[in-house]
Amino acid sequence: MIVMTCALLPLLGILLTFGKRSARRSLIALISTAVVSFLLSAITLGRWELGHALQFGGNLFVSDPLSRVFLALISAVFTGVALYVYNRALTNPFALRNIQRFVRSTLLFFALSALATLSSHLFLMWIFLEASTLSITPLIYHQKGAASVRAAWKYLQFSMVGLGLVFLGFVFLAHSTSMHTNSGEAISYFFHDLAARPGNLGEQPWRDLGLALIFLGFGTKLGLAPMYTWLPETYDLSPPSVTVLLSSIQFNAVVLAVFRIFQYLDPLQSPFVRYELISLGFASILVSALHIVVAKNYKRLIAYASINHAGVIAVGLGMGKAAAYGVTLYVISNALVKAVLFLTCGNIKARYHTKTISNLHGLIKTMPFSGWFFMIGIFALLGFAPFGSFFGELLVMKSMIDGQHFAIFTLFCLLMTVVFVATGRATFPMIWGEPSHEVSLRGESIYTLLPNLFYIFLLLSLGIYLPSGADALLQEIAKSIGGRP
Amino acid sequence: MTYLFVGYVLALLVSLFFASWRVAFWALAAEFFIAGLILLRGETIESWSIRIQMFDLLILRAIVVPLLLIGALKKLKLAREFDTVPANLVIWLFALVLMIGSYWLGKKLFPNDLREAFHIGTSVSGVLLGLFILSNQNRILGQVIGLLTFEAGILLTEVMGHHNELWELQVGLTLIFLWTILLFFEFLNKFSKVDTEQGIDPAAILVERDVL
Repeated sequence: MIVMTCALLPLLGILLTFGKRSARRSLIALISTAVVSFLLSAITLGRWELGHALQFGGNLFVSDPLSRVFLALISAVFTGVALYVYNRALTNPFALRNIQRFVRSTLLFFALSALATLSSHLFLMWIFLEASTLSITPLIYHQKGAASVRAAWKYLQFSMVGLGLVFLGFVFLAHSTSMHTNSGEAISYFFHDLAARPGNLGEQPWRDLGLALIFLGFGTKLGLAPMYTWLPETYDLSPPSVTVLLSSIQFNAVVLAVFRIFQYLDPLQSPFVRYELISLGFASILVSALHIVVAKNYKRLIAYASINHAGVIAVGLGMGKAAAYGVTLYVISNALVKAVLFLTCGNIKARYHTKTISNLHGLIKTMPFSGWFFMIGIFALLGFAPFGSFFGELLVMKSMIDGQHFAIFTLFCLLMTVVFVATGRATFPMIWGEPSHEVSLRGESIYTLLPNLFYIFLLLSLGIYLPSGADALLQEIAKSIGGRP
Repeated sequence: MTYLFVGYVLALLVSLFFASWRVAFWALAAEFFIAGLILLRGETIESWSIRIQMFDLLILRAIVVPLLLIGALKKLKLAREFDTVPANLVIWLFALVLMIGSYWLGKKLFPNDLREAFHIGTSVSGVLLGLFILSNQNRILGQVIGLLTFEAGILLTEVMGHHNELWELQVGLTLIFLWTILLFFEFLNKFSKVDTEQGIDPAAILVERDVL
């Protein structure tokens, strides 16, 4: 299976990181693994036949529209991270210290995340998500100080609690179904078994309790309020490449798990879950808006915007069918936007050694490439047309109007306006203000240019022109998570 | 089976009221052991999945890991006295309210089955007290105890279910647990360095910049 190669290739790459004088070899292993995985995942996506799902590995893994799209997406982001790390290693000899360990953990993290996207069993997916969490934790404090160690520990604690709640939710749901069937047999978490089940998820209150815990747990991993405090600290204090792994790869692996729950368990049959998702979503948007208003650190500001995005996704999922296509579009755009912004943040920080917003002015003149990427990333982050995020957000809002949820629509618009104004007020002087530093192309190489250009091309493509094949694929995903065809 | 649940509750209370991290770890070991015994009483050991789960609960979590953790912590020369929750009446009362609430929930969920009500009450107590310890602690040692108490509560809930997972998944769960413990060791080591040098981590001298 070609898709399985994408997941197993990084494990082979790990072997190259051992041995004497392996620093350069490690970097080559990282780049070659990332590029080959991306190409393979793109090829399989291109050769996709609609309505076709293939199970393999003793039915433990599946290749279907959801897994293929997410695998291609995380592979694309991973390639960008690999190129960024390579560039950093070329420009800063200090980066080569312990690079083998860094590359090893990064490859392991990617392999586990890829396996999570391919899993066709909910427990197995949970195991890979937990394993990917454990593999990325040491990377958060790689070559960093005490503050990053504390952030890593906080991340681990919240992740363990979040995934623990998901596990408890699975146990409650299994109990709910075992009470519902005559044989007393509990639910099997294989996707094909779940798909063959009748819609009813079993007895109350176990069903609601189980689903509520699952979404609270996954919400913790996505940084939804109230369990969001780990996210800004971890994103801010991690090395930029690790922030991208967390915000674009792990985030999307967790979103995929949520999509799988929607695909096979139809959680919106419980009104309680709908209210939970909408409440968590709005709480997150509110919290992020308040923090963005007072943000003084640009990396932290984008981290809070990430909480905001998680909130929009939760509200969209809570809206149900009509918003499904918008949510799909928004999730994909969100991964690309965060990759562009955090990688660019890394370049800016490497050049100016500051994360304080007020210390930077006129980036578009002093760092032409990074300045432009930062500007375009911020526009996409704020949901400007013609980016995919704009249309995603628009469709979510349309679903509110269609469903006659006018109060929700008004509140959503109000909070998003606050976020819009606060983000613009903080970042626009950074981009266009009077330059405080000399103009230089130092640190801006082809390795950082190419992935960002590619992500921006995809973001624009999602908004302006989607080839019919890609659109059909997204429609199928939206349909599978409960959307209208 | 009720005496096993009583034993579990006692282990929970011991970890709360005895000001010693060693006692807390042995209480945790007892919690995992009792969960294993409950599984043993409810299931026949005919599948590899159950065998691996037994090994995980009765050997790994109840004996091997507590011994390793206590051994590692001894090397760090920590003070023997350690409160898992602040020792005052308000906190103890709050912990007690959480436990009573858990049993009330159990009774509400299983009004006609006292054994199941007791089971769910005990496991929810474990989960909530784990979170309670976690939220009351700002030291890593206490947070590790909180996380493990939380996990023991979840596993006690799991042994209630009548489902038989694949053995591959059970192996996965065991490996995840071992990996987590290794990370705990690493963090305990790192934080002990930070603590002993009054908040100055040697790594911080190297860098507080984004290299990669």
